[in-house]
Amino acid sequence: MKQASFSLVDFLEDPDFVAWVKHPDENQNAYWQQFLVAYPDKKAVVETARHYVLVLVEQTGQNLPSAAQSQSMRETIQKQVREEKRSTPFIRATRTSWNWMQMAATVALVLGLAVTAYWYSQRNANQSESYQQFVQATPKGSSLHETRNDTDKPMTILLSDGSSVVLQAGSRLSYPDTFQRREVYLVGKAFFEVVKDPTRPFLVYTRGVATKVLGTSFMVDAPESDQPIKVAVKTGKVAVYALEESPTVREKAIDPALDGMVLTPNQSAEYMAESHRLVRTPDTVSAFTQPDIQVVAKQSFDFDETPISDVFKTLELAYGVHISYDESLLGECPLSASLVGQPLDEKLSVICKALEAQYTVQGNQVVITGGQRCQ
Amino acid sequence: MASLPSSWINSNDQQLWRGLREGNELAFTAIFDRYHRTLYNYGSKLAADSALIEDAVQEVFIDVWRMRASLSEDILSIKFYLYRSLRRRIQRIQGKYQSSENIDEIADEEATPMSITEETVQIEQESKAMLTRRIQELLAHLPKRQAEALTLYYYDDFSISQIAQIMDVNEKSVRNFIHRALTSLRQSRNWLIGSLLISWLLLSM
Repeated sequence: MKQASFSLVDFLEDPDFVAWVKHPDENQNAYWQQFLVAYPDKKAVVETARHYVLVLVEQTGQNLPSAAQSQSMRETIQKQVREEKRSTPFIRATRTSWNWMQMAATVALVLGLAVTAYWYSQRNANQSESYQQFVQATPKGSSLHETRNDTDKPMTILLSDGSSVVLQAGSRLSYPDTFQRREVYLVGKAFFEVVKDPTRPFLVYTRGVATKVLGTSFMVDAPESDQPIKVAVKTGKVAVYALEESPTVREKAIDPALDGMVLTPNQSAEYMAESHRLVRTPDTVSAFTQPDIQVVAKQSFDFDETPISDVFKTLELAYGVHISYDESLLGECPLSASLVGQPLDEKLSVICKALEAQYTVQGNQVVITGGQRCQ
Repeated sequence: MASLPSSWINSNDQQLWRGLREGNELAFTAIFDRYHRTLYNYGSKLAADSALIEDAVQEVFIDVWRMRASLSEDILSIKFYLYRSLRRRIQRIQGKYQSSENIDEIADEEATPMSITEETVQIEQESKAMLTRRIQELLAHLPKRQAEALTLYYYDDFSISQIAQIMDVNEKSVRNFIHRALTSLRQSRNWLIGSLLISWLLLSM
């Protein structure tokens, strides 16, 4: 303590004094006794300060949780821990073997092909028909899996080829556990980000329409009403087929050529349920100004010296995932990257590469481990 | 190593942390038992909504469990780690992204410093009940960050440097928060004594 006049506040601010009041021990007792011998007139101030510290300690600790609150927190945590143990881990390690050149090349390719498309299709009676066709045509040996999003938030599905699908609330997607052909069936609205593979086209079926892409991102919407199907492309290229007009589309699925109606960025088309016709929409109309567009479709994923904490917040909102990471270690690391059109997996790969970190995905939980502190 | 729950109760932070990193659920539970109550208490200085605080406390622990394998080996204080995580999480929930110097602090710093008069009056012993009431009153009306710093300093036993890291400000700011809070506390006492004196004078007239 400084030599000055030792006011009440001086004592209250002195960590040694506070420590003595809270946890007195022989050493400190001796020290403060000596102090009072040297400054006998401070006895009253010391006594008052002691009194203050005790009441401050008591009063700043008045908001402990009730036993019921503790129990409820404990149960929530235990439930999470148990769930984590039960679920079969869907783990993807970072491809640490990637070097930067390969990474850049892949990013460039995917970027060039980024596409967004809308589908408005109807479900109900005749939907089951094409769904049946889809199921029957699924190669033997691969079991179909259906995921429904019964939450009110977007839900991300990671497909076995590394592509990701952001399923809007109330929508469902059927897909094989492992792909022989890359084919899925959608009811509702979803945003697809497809890993580029020119030898294996990726097909999305909805009632009445098929969309074929080689590696791109696009959005599909097939509501239950009789609304027309609408397709809109943001960047890149997709081919759209009316299934009645192209009954052989499934054969063509393995053909990488994009025939049918080809849509390029900012173009869109509508499929009329009644006339079974696919109509190109005038270029003046942009589907991307619609208010109900998914966050993931709107998002540019264009980061410029953006703190990782903000980057992760963007991904969490877009994909409906929760990202766990050491925020104190990585939160302020800046990221500059353009990640539009890439599946979630590739986005995480690129980010983790930059952070020298690894990631795992389990359900909607992304866990980032490792990483270097940024200065 | 015995894995009965009781064996963890007396373990120190380092042992618990090691257990946690190895995926020992009992060590994890022991950490929760040891720290969740004071952590919640701290959360109550950051947010008023008890459901929000509960959620944030849960998430901090769930994250620690999920990230157990990547947690750094040597930890000086689990408590410090948890507090810092909780503060960041609550800020995230509340959507405050600008990290350190925000308006509230700048306003705090720029306020005219209160004059500190010499401790001339002899110290009267104030009754505990009266002091308690006064401190309750003060804590309710202090700027949030002053109350937060007081809690971390008096209740949670953190050092000024740890508080600075938890609150994401420099040490000078922390000293400032505490000093201002204590000064208001003392002044409210002088004011109280003054008003008592006046009422006594009025009554005796």
